[in-house]
Amino acid sequence: MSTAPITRVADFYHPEPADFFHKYVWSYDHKVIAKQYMWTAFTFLILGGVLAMLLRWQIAYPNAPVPIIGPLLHDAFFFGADGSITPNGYLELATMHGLVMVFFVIIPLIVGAFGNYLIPLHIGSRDVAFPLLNALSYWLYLPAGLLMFSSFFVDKGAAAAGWTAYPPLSDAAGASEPMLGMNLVLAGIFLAGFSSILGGLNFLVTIVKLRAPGMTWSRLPLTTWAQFITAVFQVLATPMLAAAGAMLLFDRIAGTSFFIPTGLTVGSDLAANSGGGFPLLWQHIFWFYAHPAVYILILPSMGFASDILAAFSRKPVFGYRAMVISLASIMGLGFVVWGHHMFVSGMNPVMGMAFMVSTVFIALPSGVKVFNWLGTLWGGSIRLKPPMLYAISFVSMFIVGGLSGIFMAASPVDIYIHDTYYIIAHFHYVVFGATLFSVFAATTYWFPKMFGRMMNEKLSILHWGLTFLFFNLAFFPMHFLGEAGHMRRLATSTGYEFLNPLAPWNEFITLSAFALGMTQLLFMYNFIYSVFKGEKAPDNPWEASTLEWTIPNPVPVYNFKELPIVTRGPHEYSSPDTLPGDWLPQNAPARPADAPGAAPAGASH
Amino acid sequence: MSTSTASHSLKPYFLVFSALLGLTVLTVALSYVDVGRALGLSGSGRAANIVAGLVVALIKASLVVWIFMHQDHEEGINRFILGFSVALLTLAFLALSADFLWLGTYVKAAAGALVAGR
Amino acid sequence: MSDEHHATLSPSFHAERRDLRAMGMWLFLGSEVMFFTAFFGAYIVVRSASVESIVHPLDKVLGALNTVVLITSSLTMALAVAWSKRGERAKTGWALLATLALAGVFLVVKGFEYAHHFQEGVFPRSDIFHGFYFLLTGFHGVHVIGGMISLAILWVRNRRGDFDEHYNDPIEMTGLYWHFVDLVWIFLFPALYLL
Repeated sequence: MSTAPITRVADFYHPEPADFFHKYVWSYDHKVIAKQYMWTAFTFLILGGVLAMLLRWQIAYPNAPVPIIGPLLHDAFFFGADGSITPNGYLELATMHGLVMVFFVIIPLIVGAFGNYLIPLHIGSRDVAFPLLNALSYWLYLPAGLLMFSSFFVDKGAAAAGWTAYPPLSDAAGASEPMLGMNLVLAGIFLAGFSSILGGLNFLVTIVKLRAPGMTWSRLPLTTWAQFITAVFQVLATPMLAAAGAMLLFDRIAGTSFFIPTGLTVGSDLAANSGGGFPLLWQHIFWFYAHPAVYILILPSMGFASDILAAFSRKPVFGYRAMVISLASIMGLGFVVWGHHMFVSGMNPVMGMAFMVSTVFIALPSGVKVFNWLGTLWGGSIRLKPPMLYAISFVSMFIVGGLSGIFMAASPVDIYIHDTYYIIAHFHYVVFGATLFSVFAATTYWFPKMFGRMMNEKLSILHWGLTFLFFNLAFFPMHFLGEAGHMRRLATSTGYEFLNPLAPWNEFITLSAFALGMTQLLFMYNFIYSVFKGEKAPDNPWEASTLEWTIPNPVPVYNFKELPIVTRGPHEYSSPDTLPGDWLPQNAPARPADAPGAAPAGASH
Repeated sequence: MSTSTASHSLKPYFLVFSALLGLTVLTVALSYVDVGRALGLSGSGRAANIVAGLVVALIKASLVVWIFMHQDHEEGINRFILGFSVALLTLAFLALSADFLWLGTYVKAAAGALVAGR
Repeated sequence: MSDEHHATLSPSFHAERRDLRAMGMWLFLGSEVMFFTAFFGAYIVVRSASVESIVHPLDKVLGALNTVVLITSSLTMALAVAWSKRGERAKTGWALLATLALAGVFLVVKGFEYAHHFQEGVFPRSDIFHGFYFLLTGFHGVHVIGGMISLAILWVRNRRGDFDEHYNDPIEMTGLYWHFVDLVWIFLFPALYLL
């Protein structure tokens, strides 16, 4: 430790802790915090997946006892006396599957884990702007997850009003009997939201203030640009969710009626609350947050895909500036499209028209990005490694998810397909097909840097192929189900005559979903095995150009021995400067041919 | 960029304080008056009072933000953050109002219909 | 997070870190603006869409008194920041204490108001107006309490000699937060009490 005075924030870092507690539990190191997020989020992914498997069972085999688990857990959790899933249990499953996946898996993974790990490395800094706040963000997320998880074990179970928690169902029904489960879930969401706001704030200050010399905005990796825009949404949209949740909690616990209209009856009795509220109010405030939330769910994964596609095409991303402008447009437009979730809510039809227009507009920047990804691949020297396979699938499935989105944007169409399986198909294509595949890409790509080992390539390719196959088999038919009018959040479709012909599809989807779930065991095994026993990785196995690949494995606590001086953009592949090789790191000397004793292309410092 | 210069005079703080006190007296006083009638806009109900109260509050807020919170010396990014947040606030208010003023006409019409005994 | 790990942090380090923290605090305040936006927005639209007026009269005198108390506390806070930047440790301490005391007065007055309501049998669940009243003033009060905790910690640290003319950004940042708390009340008071 030097005793010279520290003159710049960029030189400051917390030294390597000596004891286990400060090294792995309460750590200020963004790399450790990132891994904490990663392990926790992957665990919740298993939970969310299990919930989905249970709910798929009920859809395919209505009221049939769930094999093995059903009889074992009868009368507990979601199960009835015979081990089948009860109607309320089904709603609980659907609700919690959504909440767990959105708040405790995807956002913590793509922002908390990868954002945390990569941002300082990509901009050339030693850590984030506020390391203490960073640690706090994780230690708000974990208790939030535990609170949410504990709701399964209380009387009357967890939340069961859909992840969107529309009142009066989420409200008055709970106000007359104190359903502790939903209150616990709301408390968990509140904490998770706070964690998200603080995290986003941290990343914004880091990216604005702590970039290494020469790391101009136009040289940032697209991963970082995406995290930057995402962080804006996190800081400014999430508080609306907190406020809505607080009002809902007040309604449930203090007996207020922000969302309960006068004269509402629950069953045959008048609701206990005083009335005077509006259910529509919840929808506006909730979706004002929840629409930007879906951009939080997709933008970071777009960032990963862009940088990964460039690295494995040995070409810069096509149209870097257009990509940045698209991200910025999504940031601006993302705040004015929320009403497209409310086309059938009875809101002002003129507003409905305005939201339709803005929603159709926001498709444009996404479309630009898709064409630019294709343009990146076009004419590239393609290396079909696992990260690339996942990234290419990301693009194709984002296209499918985006196309279904266009239909939903048109309110006349949406009035018909709202609350059907069409919507479910859409968001699973973008959140699973696109984002989760991008997570797999990012994991296999950055695993060597994070853990100093390689994941098994053959196992990754097998996982990729089977996941791609079963994912499409499971979710593509849902478009047809939706068009046929199959409603969502429906525990038993057998009560509706017009849905009976669709029952074989439900079974087919369920079987594909089970296969999809089983396939993920391959990834789990690969990940866990490789952390401990994987083949040792070289510093830069992918010959990639961004700054994280210029430092050795394992990454030291201070990241860079000397802070890099950045001289070139993030995708310095196959340009004349790179000869005789095909790439250069971002901090390579400006004119390698002229620099005295220039290091050969690709040497790390 | 940084406002950590030690040579700031304290006078602006006292001036703003006095202004804020005065404006508070003003806004309370206005609440006892029918501003609409005083301005010759009778029939506007509470609207004029609401606008007047809002204007005074905005003036007070601007003084606090500009002088007490040193926005007069702050760097661009911090001004942008505040501006963007206020823009989003405005957007949210406008959208909510657009929906609820419209909804309100239906709610009131329905209530009127009920009262009329239909 | 202790700075004892390093020999010294130079004035330029503190100045730079102050700028980072200022941006962080403005972002946090931006998020707080959005948080209160939902409550205020909800109040405005419920009021405008309701058939009959939902407004119930509140004690304007107590509300005005609290407004004056908070405005004065903003003055003392601004003075605390300014004196701290001049290295005037004693004056800073007095200003922080004054701010803390005024905040306490605010809560006491609020407490009287709440107690009076409860005595009259008026609770958050009684009607939609009082639902909003308790929601808005309640969350505002929570923010006042948070500020008071921060002020108390600052007063102790200042007494200990932690701050000087180079390193005083915790006071400045708490100042920004405290002015924001005042700002919310500047809108809350007319919205609930006057208009």
